Amino acid sequence: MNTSHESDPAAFEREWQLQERALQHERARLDASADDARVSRYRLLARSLRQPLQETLPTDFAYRIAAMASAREVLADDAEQRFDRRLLQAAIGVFGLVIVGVIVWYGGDWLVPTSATARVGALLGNRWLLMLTACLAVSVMTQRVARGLDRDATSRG
Amino acid sequence: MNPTSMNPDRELVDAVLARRPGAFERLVREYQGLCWHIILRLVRQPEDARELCQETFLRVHQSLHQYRYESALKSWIGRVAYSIALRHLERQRLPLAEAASAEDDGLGLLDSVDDGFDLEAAWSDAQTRRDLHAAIEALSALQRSVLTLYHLDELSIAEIGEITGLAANTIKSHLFRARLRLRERLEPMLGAVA
Repeated sequence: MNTSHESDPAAFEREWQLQERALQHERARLDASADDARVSRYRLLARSLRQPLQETLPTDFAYRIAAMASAREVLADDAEQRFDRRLLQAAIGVFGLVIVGVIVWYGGDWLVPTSATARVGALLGNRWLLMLTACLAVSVMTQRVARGLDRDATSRG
Repeated sequence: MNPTSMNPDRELVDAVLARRPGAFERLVREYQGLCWHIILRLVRQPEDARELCQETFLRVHQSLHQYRYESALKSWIGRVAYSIALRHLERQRLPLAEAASAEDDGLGLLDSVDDGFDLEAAWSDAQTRRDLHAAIEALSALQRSVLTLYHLDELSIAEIGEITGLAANTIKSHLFRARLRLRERLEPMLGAVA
């Protein structure tokens, strides 16, 4: 960009000082009669540039934007809560399956020797029966947790 | 920290992040004038400017937790407004600044001024004011914006630099050339007034 201050820095600096002096005089509302013609011309520009813009924002702009932002916040919170609920249900499910696995593989060894009767021991020693019982327990547990979370969300909402 | 010595920016930001009632509305009211000036001066269309202003404050609300107090909140919000308006200009393929031409130099004008100029008489002439307004509108988007931030919002060159990302010398050059160009356009009008 080849501008006047590159071709003639001294002229640029003189003119810049005039522009700035005009701005300062206009801001301070000094008497214009003491200004020279060039400063007065720049003061006219400065005065025009200090006028408020003709177009404005609606008077309720801030209120409306705040309401929109708040509504978005509520939506985001709801989405986050739903995600949290699903995550918790999934974690409980996985935890339950791990327990089922452990019981299936080791349950018979733990429970048979300590069982009071041989029949109970035999029942507990049956891996398929244990797996079925554990699955039922996990299913009931996750349903109860889900119902509890839904109740919480409803009471909060 | 002593709450009475708290930075007002921090106080406002903390209140918004804590979701205190009315805090975000206060923030919008505080900075809507600045954003309006930046955006309207860049995009010129009031309807577009209103939408972009709305987008600016929703973006501010969404990302306020990322504000790190490295610059004044005013500059940070101004930068969001500036970048949103800039993206709008790019999408519309509208130029931000005109290429500098030999006429921008204005050196011929520097010493060619008659004495005896009456500021108040010139200002009281409605046609001169309208012509000046039209001359400001005819400047490039960047020059309009920089002039408004400097003259109307009374921001310093450093603050304008934080908002626009331009170097201080570049801003100074835009201010200089824009004011010189306006003065150039003013001369024939003043002949009519005198």
